[in-house]
Amino acid sequence: MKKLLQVALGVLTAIGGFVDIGDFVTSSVVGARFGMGLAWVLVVGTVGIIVYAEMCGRVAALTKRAVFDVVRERLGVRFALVNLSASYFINLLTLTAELAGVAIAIQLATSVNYLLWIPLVGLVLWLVVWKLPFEVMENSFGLLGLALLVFVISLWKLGPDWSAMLDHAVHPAVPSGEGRPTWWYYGIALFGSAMTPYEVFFFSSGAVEERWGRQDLMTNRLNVFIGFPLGAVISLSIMACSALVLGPLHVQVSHVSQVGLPVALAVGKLGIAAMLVGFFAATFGASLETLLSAGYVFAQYFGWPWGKAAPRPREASRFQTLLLLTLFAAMALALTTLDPVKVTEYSVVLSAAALPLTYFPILVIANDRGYMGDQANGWFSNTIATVYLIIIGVVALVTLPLMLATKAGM
Amino acid sequence: MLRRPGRIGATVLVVILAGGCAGSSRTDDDYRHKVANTAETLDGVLGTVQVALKVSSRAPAAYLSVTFADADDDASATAGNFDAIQPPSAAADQLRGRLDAVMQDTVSMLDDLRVAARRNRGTELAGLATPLPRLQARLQQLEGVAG
Repeated sequence: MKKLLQVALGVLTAIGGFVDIGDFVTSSVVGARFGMGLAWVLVVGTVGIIVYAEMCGRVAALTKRAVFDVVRERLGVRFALVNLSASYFINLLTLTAELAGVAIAIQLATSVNYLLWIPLVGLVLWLVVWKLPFEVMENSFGLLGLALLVFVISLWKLGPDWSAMLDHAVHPAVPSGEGRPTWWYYGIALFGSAMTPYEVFFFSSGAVEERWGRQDLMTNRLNVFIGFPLGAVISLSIMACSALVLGPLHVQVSHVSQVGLPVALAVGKLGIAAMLVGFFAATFGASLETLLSAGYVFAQYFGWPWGKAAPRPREASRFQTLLLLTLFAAMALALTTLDPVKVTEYSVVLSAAALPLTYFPILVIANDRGYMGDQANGWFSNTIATVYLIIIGVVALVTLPLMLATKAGM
Repeated sequence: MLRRPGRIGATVLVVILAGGCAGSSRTDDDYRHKVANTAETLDGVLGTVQVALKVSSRAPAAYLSVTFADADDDASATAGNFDAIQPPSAAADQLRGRLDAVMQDTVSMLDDLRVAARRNRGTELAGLATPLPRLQARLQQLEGVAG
């Protein structure tokens, strides 16, 4: 019974923790602009993150090694340094966006400018990282993030023409007045938001922190196979709500305040309250994950002692110092008044460009019977993972040219 | 003298930075496109305002206040960006005059809505937004000037 509860908690946490500011903003931007025409990308991206998250959870449980440890071994020190630089930069951008997201959630509840909240949010974030046990931290924000299910309720209450919506989703077409490159650019942004590298850094390092072993392989699979698809339903609902309410009025989503308007229309004040709680939890949880991921990748590359749970902070002083410096850097960036929605858009698109550097080594080591024994990838996993690696490679090649050609989707 | 990777990096940087600059128009056709795009952006901002007004009795005051402030900032920024573009001919001057008038009316209405929402005078919002449908119609006309 206790095991069952643990699994249920893990799945619920995975659902609530799936959405971050990248999913939140990108789904709404795309829904308002392209309707459900790019919903298929979200499905493709979710299957991709399921395949690779399961793989890196399995690798971590069996080898006790996190992703970046594997990256350095398989890519070599020099090439992994390129990966480290790219991953850290994207992590920092994402952390900046998530921090601003937390502050915006508070602004929407108080109408006090979000910039004033950023130092306080940074301080609380640091205290949580320093004081709260890893499992409590992960579960509490993941569970609170379930409040974002209000988008699913809102969609149902808005009463869309389900068959027309499904038809639009399964027959994707570039809307009139939009260029094909822009359409693909936003497709890549959605793909990047679903497959953000920090998710696998955190997932695998978290598995090591929680001392996963062979007995946790089933928990890993249930979290990923049930939790992630249900989490993606929230993203799809955000997209659909925007497509229904904001799309017909040609609204270009550039603020978080716009994302919640369909919820206010469908559910009212209670809905907005739930959305704000969910958005706060999602961005705060993701801030913790990106901050820790920044520390994980550095420490794992340089071979420093790392971990929130063990060793104790004074035994992992370089890891802890890096977390603090990263947090300061993200707060400083956010305080420059950079547009948080734009930062989010750039971070998800640049994530897409850096994906192969992260995912290729995972596939290699998941096939290594020397490490994985009888839990190495089978032909089915390998086929899907290879197809995804090809997709990821193509996405990485076209991302920057598309970004320049479309002036970042303008 | 920059080495090859440095030159490539510098070129990419210049292209990105140039993309962020306000565009100038050399032809009437290009200017018409910029007018249409600006009108479309402002129409989208008014779309947000339309939904916000619809939910004004169902959304928390702080949330509405931020929504109207964001819309006002967007409209002002859009108007500012457009004003930085020089019209290339007399015909373009005329078009600029038409759009300028709508932009001013739009920003003025949004300023009023922002203040009312900030002061928690929710009952006044609908009255202040009376020009909204007319402004939307004028903007939609301008969206069609690019042909």
